[in-house]
Amino acid sequence: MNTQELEKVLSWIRSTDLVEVSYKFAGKGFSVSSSQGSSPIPALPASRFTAVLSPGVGLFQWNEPGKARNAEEGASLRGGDLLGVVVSGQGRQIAVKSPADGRLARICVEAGAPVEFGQPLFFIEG
Amino acid sequence: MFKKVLIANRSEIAVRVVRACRELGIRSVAVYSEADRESLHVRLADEAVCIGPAPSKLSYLDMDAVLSAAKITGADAVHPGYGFLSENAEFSKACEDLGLVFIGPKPESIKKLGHKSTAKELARSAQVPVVPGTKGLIDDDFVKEAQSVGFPVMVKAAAGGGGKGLRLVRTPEELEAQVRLAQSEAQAAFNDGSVYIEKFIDRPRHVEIQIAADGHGQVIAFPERDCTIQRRHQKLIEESPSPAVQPETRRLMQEAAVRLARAAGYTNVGTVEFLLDPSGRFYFIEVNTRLQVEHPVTESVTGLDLVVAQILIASGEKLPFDQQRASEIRAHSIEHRINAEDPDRNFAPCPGRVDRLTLPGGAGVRVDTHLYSGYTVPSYYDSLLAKLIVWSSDRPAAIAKSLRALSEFEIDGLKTTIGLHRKVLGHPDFKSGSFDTHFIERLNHVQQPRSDSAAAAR
Repeated sequence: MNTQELEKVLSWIRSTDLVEVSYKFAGKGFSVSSSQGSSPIPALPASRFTAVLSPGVGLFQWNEPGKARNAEEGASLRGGDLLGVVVSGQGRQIAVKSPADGRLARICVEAGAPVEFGQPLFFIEG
Repeated sequence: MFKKVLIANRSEIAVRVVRACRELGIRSVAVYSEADRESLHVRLADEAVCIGPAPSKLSYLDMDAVLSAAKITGADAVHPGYGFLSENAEFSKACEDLGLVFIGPKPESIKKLGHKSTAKELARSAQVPVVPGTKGLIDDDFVKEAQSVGFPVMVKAAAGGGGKGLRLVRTPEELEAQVRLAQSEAQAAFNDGSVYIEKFIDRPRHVEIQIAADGHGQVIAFPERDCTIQRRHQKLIEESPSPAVQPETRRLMQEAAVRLARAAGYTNVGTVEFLLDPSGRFYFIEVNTRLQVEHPVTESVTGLDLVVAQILIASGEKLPFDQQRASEIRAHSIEHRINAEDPDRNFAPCPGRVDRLTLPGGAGVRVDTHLYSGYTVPSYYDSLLAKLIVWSSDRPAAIAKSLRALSEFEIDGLKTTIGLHRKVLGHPDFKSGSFDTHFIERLNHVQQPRSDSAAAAR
């Protein structure tokens, strides 16, 4: 590969957000990486999703233990809506509430599942 | 024997207990706060559960969170380490109530011995010598009581520890004000403002007896640990045997400790602390109803494992050694507590990142630590970084080994007390063995720049 050919590859890489490209064929090839600063990685846009983290340690239960789930993925929520409870070892019930208005995008927990502090239980889109 | 043990602690002691569990074939569960996600005990344990945010009140001191972690992981026992919930009778009871074995004494024993004044009463009844002082907690008529004890006196918090609520009073005139101060300090620190008065022992040494008691009636006492080198009532260096204890005194202290343990119906390991005056008289001060920071000194002297003993006792087994074996002094051992503190700035804690860690090694050298290269010491907790423990055939050889090991010990990126330890060990009074609990104050006093110029400038 000569420099003219390589220049074509480089201009193609610049047109993308790739930071590193390696190419190998029949024992020959090249590896290029964009140096920091020349093509800065754009900051990630703020996520549309808000994680609802477990406020405690214990077993997750829906609104009332034994009851079927009281929210489905896709349901619309208001901030402060009760999503479930974490039942501690000593039987204390720690409420899990929706932090904001939005759509319940993902449920990551099942009734009776053990959860630790800070574990994502739900994702809310809004 | 247990299948899975939850360790309700952090730092080097959590690492220590994980290791004992692994050697016994027991699975271990670490708990951690959000500030300890990168901690070594989390990496070494078989499982780990995040129990809360950084402040210990919301994580390591949150009984319900700790117990929940034990329940969801299916642990059958809880090792409390030292500090945090280790001397909390309510926690020991809460474990029992949830069907978990607390690896420590029963709640009743913790209650009997945990409060200093009730422990002193129990000691008196077991013919264990105590420092003369007020019979119980003081309320109003304390000046007369203090006079009958004889000045100077110490005012102490009943629920105390770590120097909080502690006041030295030299004359009757100062007494009332100092008692009030101690009461409010104790109230703030322990949520218990009760204080008592006792005689001030001049030039004391702090000597303690490790005990172990199983559920089959065997109570044994180990050789003493000398914890005289302290600063601000926190132990800095511990050694065993004590250079100030004769075999006859040792025997008397051991017998007194065993009598007290029996009187309290004590099981598991614990420590009976005494003050030793220059004439060789000793006085009971308190019992620590848990594993001590300095337990490795006793392990090095006797070649026995105290954490394994704790687990065996809690699981209902007999002690794996008898009094005769536990009395064997096989080496002289010294422990250095290395803290993230700046000795030049009055031991102000200084957490930060460990850029590079070089541990000392060789025969007779042990380091108990949770540090590794690249670890950031969080600012929320105790400043203890590592314990360096050495042992050798006799005291001079142990001191030489300590100095050698300290010179190899490098914790780049943090201010530590390593230099202070070298200074202490090089001091003639430490070498001769004749020192008291004020050794560090005097050492630092000598080191400080003279204040003449400051006084002249005013």
